[in-house]
Amino acid sequence: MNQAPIFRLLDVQKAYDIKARSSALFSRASKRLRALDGVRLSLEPGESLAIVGESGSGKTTLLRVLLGLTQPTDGRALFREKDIASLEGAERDRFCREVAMIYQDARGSLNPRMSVLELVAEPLDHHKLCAKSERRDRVAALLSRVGLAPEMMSRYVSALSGGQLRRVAIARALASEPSVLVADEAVSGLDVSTQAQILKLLRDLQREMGLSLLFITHDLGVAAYLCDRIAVMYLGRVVETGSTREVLKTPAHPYTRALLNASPRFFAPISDPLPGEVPSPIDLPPGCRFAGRCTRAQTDCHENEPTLAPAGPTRLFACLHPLSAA
Amino acid sequence: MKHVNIGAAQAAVKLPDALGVRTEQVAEANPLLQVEGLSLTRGESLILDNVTFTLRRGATLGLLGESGAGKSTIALTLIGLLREPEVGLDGRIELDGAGNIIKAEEDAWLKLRGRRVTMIFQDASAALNPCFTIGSQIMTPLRRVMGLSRAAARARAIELLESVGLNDAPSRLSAYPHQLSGGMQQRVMIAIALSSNPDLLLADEPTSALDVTIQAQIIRLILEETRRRSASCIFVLHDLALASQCCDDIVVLYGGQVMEAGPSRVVLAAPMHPYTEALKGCVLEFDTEELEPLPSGAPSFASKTPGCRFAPRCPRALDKCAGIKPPLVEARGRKIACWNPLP
Repeated sequence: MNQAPIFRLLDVQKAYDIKARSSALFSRASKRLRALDGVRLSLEPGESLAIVGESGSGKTTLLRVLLGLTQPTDGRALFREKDIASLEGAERDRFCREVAMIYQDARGSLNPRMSVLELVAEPLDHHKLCAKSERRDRVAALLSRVGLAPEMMSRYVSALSGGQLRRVAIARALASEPSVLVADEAVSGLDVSTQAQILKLLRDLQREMGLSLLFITHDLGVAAYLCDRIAVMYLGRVVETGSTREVLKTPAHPYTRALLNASPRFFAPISDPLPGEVPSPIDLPPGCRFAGRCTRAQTDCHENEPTLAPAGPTRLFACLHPLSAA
Repeated sequence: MKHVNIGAAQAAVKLPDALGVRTEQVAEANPLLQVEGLSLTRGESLILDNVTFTLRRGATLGLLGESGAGKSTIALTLIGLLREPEVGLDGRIELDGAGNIIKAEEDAWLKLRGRRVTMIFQDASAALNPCFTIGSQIMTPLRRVMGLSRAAARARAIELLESVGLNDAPSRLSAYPHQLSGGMQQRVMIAIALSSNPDLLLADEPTSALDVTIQAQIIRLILEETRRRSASCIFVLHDLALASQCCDDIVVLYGGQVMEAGPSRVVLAAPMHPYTEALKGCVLEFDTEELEPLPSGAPSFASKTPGCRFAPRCPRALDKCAGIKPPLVEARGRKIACWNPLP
């Protein structure tokens, strides 16, 4: 097993040029939307990392960069120390095999014209992982691994429930014998009871098969249950990262604190919500991006942009006036 | 027609103090809404089976359960969108001052729906019409229901949008729904639902499509605005932790049957029904180490199923559970339908 990090992001930036709506006639000015702005992260073998943030924080763009679906405008995105964009031939095939994706919209990600057998066998066939004669047995084994009966093989997507669909999507992801699972909000929109089943399944799989897991979520409870490490994102930047337990117990960044307060908890009074919404990532003002919504913001927050600085062996945060407990 | 001076009412209730105060748990002689033995059939299926609950004046009630529990069906029945002959209805729905409305005709519903009973839907982007501006969608009910003139409706629309936290309200009137974020769209829905000063507001999963920080804002807003107007509110929710924060009373449903009902503090602090307990066990808190999920399964709606519909998935099921339906009885400050409740 290669002990180098599986994924490494070095100050990754992704900016989009968008046409500005300007009052000046014939103006051709364009503005820059910074979806990712200097993201530095790594995923070690066997590790589970949660990426947490509100919509608009850049979680999905980060995912697209990691999967090589879009290229960073600046910085480097590495898979096993090689640029993801430059992977070719056998290396590219290996990348596709090792990195398996579970999409947010399981129903939309599975072809309705294919049976469960064909869906789960497709990666096996594509990567030529087993002989045609073993195909059925391999699919049955994968299905039982995710808690589905082999009779499901002949079913189509339209005949499956939400929970069953997620299980098929997970079985399909596992078919290529990956080393890392990347999941984008894989449990959102499910009933709590189904969500609990899928989360337990994912955690068992991760632990038993030694998989790395990159889990994108907006639910801190899910992150706490599933992942050893957490990275909290706000407007294209990582604002706090560290071990999930530490970060959630003693958050240093006021944004992490606000997310914690907003999460429903039994019998806790409804907290004073964070004012406003995530601002537009176009032409951000100078200073800390969160300053406009932060209760602790002082004048220097609007002038100087904090950088992600270490605050412990694994802990980093970007705040000029962090919460004292950290 | 009811006219409420919002300005005076705002001054009278000091917020957010009012949010922490729970309404007194005394049985009212004259509750706002009483649902008794409500059954709803669709062909051979019994979708709601003898649902009974009471909503006190000014209180918030949460309907809880998995999908398929009948939560939204109850909400749609309470606003007269599911009626005979499309579905078969039985039982009583007593809305204060309007009598039993279960068999009410469309004429009667037109006087209630959108006036005394209003609804916020789950998906605000689908509930707002993309072809009309925010202003036209909020002013139409004000003019038709409240009978305001165009100018008065416009002024009231601005006032309402400001009260739900939309800044720059006058210019928002000419915006189309797609120009607003999900949270802003839900605020507009709330403004529309509150525009007729309803007695009963139905909120069907109003925040399940929103971020947690926006969810906190929206739930708070609904609570503040309904309390300010002394309106009652029914939340349809699937998150038990959120229900414990925003509902005075809860009704836990499974397959259209009431499993457990009572004050949220009593029921959720120490559930007696195995289903409530199991749902509570699925809620992730930050220190959850182990989850013990319920086995998969969906309730059968076949009207001939005699017993408790949860029995096939229930860890405490007895032999008789599948055969005889347990009655809803009083026990330790709540109502519960179970042959083998938790001690």
